[in-house]
Amino acid sequence: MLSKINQLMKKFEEEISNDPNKKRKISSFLSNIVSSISTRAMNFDESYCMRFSLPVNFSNKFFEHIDSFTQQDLYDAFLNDWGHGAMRNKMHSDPYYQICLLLICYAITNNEKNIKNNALSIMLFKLWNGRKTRFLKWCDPDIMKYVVSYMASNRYLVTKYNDPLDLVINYFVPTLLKAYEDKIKRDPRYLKNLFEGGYVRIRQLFVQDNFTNIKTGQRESRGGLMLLYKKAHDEGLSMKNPNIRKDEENVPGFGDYLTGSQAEEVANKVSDYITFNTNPNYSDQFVRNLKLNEKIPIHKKVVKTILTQMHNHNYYDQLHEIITIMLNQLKVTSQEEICGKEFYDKFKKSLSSKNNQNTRNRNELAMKILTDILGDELNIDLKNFDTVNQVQMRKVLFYGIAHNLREVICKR
Amino acid sequence: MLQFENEQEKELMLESRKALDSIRAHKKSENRNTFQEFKENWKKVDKGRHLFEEYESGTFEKKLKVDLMYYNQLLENLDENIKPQVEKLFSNMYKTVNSIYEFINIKPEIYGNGVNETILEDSYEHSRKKVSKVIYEYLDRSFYSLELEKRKDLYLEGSMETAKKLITEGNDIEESIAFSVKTLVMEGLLKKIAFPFTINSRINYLLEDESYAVIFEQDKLRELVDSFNNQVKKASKIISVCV
Repeated sequence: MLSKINQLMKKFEEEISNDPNKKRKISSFLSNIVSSISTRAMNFDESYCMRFSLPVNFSNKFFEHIDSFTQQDLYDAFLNDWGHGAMRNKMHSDPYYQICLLLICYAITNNEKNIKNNALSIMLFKLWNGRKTRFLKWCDPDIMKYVVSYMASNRYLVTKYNDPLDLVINYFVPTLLKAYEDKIKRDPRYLKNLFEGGYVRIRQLFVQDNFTNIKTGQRESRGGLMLLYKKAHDEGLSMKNPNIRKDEENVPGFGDYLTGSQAEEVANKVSDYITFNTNPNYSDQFVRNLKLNEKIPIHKKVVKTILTQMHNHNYYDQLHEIITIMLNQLKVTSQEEICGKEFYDKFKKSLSSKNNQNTRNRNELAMKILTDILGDELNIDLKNFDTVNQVQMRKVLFYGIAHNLREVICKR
Repeated sequence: MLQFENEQEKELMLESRKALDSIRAHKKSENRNTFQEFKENWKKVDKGRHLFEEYESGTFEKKLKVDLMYYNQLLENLDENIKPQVEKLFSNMYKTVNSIYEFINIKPEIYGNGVNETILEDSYEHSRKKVSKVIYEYLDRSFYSLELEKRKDLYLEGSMETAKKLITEGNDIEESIAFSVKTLVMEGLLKKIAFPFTINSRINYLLEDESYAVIFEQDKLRELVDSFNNQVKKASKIISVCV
């Protein structure tokens, strides 16, 4: 199916190429936003309490320059490419983000570096504002400076970048472009991945490793700025009252587990590895061991079919999400844990994770892939199988993915 | 109104229309019994598809302990001298039972109305009573309360082979037949203890399902089930002697 975003982008491209003045105006419009934010950041030292000052009439201002399509056309294009499910979400259907993403797409296709960087920065500024309002509505800069200086462990991004502006421009923008630029060039539908990847990375700064507290039923996090800020606030700690904590090593800052950005990077690498490797070789020994160790009574040729056929770029998104969920459930903290002898024991336990949303999502995604593979290759409808039998089939897929994860992480 | 280029096309059209009309007429004339249709469709329905939970080794261990209670009851009068051989037979049989549950990936089930893993925490007397009750109810349902004709229907044919063998060995005819029938009844009980009704139905379904055979090693499952059936036959003979 043709990308409607791409079609819209072509219209925009044509309009811009016919009137170079428009391109200059749009580029200036974006640059002005970023530079006024930079100026403010220099004048007010708010650390990670900073909130970006963005123009309220961003969409209107943009459409003042554009004749070839309307805001409704933009919405319809995104709806076509992203689907109703995504567009029911307030953020996905916000024209502010859609304009930024369209501009990013245009800039990537036409090598317009300034527009690309500024549009992406502006998108991330708004994402930052949203997450900050959600998790740290009231923020004392002195407490936050204390958190960043003394409570966040050294591995963490907030300790490496002075403030959110520095973090967005010098880390998130290049990292996200590195991960998604080529993909977006091939298919603008990856704009969704870019958007959601940006959201996850920023959210991760505030809350990390969420779980449901069994006693209270509330969702809580085990790491992140919000948790540390709250601790510092409760203990009366701030740069004005820097009572340095003695037991710094045991501070549960970020980074007890793989961060969102690290997990994202691993998921990208492994998904790329799987989907680009269209002639994989799974030895008979591997298949035999899998069947024996996991007691999977599936025909050897069916196991091989599942393993080899998952190497298909059509399954990129599902594989990416499955890998992300797996990493989250495995709670790995280092490469050694993935490459070590005990990985598969840990992996086996993670497959029997309690039936939470992550597990359900993981299983649903696996079923999508299996339904396709077995439907195409063997003309089998998986709906005819018992859930306990579907579990056995999913195991093959999950172990195949785990095998590839180790291939990427441990041998490269 | 369609215009035909030539007579040939027109003839073809008329022929095909005739064929379609006769197909429709035939369909109308087919007087399918609703019950027959239901019966045919019922065969295709995968019964109990979503009833089962996944296999757990911990659950099997508990089931094994409870099943042992049944066997201890049934083998109360076992000659001590042959106890080791019998233990070996039952141990092998239950390895097969475990393999089957693992193969079909279904949580092992305990047999008996009102019997579950909590019986393991009951006192010896209390658990013994419960287990005895289940055994007697089974025997009553499967044999004692049945009329002679019904017993013949259920057991005569199946018991012939064993009875013939015993008679050829010089045993009393009536006793041989009685023993063979008892063995069959016990066989039924042991099968139920290992695989209660819903599990047994599921196994039978999987052994016949074509789709299952495409993905899973149905032949291996069949081998396991055959092996179990042979082991049960031997075990039921031993129990028939003791009971």
